[in-house]
Amino acid sequence: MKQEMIQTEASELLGKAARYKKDGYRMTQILCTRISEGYELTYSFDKDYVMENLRVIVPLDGSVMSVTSQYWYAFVWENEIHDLFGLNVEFIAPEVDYHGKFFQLAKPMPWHELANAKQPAAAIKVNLRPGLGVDASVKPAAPAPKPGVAAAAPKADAAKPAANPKPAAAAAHPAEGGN
Amino acid sequence: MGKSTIIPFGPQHPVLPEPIHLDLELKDEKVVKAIPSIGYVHRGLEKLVEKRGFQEYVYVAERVCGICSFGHGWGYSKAVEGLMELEIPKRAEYLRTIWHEISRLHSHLLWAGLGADALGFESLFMQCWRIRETILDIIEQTTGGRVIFSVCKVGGVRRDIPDNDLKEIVKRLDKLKKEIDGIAAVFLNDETIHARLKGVGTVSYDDIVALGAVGPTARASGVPQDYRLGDEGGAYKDLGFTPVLATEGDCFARAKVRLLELYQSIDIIKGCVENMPAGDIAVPVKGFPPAAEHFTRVEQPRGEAVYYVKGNKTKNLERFRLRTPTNANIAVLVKMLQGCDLADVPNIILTIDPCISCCER
Repeated sequence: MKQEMIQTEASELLGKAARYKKDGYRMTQILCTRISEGYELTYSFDKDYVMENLRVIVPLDGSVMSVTSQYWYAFVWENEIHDLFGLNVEFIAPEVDYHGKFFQLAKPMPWHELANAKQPAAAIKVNLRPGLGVDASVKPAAPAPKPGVAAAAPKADAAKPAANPKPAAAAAHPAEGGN
Repeated sequence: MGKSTIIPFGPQHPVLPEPIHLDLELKDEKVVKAIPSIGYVHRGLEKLVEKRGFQEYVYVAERVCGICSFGHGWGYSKAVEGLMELEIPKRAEYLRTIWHEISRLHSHLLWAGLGADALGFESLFMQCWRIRETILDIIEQTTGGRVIFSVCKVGGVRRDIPDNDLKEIVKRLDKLKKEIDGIAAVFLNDETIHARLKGVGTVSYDDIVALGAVGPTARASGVPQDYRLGDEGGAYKDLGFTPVLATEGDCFARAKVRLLELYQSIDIIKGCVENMPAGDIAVPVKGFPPAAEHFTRVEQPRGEAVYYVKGNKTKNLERFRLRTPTNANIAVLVKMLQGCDLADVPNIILTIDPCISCCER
């Protein structure tokens, strides 16, 4: 059976997602593929076991609006796309916008060079308390800038005695494959 | 009310067989907010499709997860078959259904054991896993492996199950049914289990719909969502299928749905054996996948999984994507944990039956 991809402009995405929601569709997934023009995004919606797909092309230096205002649970896929592909997804619902900290990977992602990747900032604002877990009521101390340490190091790492040199090392070897 | 405190839960925790991390924001003993993060077992398996031939990649797809192994092999094969417009022999579809339901029995019994262990029922845990051995023996007898089946391929299946073996499997499943009665009686009637699971982690029908949950998690809140009702393939359309539902939406309902699905899977397998068509088990696959794309879905033990493949007229696919059931159930887990007691967190997490290997690929 032929499956249709409905070509959609990035600017129309939210409106179309809102219409699907109003019509009782469930969002089943968001797919991201690296293509020569940038990113090919596919948003799938299901009703009565029939799936409809919206296709959005985003240039390499572009970004796309989050659909979490319509489908809150899309935050899982939008954060994944940001973390693994480096595509900026704008205005993810603030309580679930991880700013690059959703996938806790040993090797920094994305595995290719990006024009405007959102850097992993302090998404989960916690202050590490030695030996006693984490206390949310204590405001995190501003980390003192150290020479030679990447400015984008996550705040959770700031509490550690030695700064993690991995982001700097990753910058030295940015290109390692596609997606 | 005391001050707000964040407790890190996982990635290493006695109740979690796989690593997931949650920051639990607590006020006294109540969870106010749960913030999940994943990525501890991300292996980049989707990316590997660019380096392996499209036929060879079935083995990789099966290794996404050790529990839903067969379903992933089937989902991937079905997606490539859709891409290449291949018609699969009826007997292969029935054999796939049998193995898929055996896989569901394996998964649900494994979950029941883990659930019993988390509740402190050590001997119930051992009984569940002892019973599961029968299933593993059937897998070994029919496929040669005990966890990874490696029988599904693009175009059909690699092995047939002789009719005599099928009859013998039905006899073993009848015996297994009686043993399942024993564990189900404890799960469904024990007062301690009721006290720990009833009214805990409750999610309403509306919340399930709003949060896009799938599988037994959705069905336990009365949402009749099961892709075996859709275009799953296999023998489901021929045999007729009605999903197991509960309405309470709590941890107990999720446990009950899985236990009742054990009986349903046995009935489906018996239906397949009784109506098994004769004929080939595979069709020849010629050429490479065309420059096109295809989506397909499979109802895994934990819920609906979405498979996507994109071909480019070479032996390697350009893209493979898998949206797993746990991936869809993370959002509802966050909702379930809001307002629960800290002591209930492990049980709530377990009742969505999270599979982190699947989720991270």
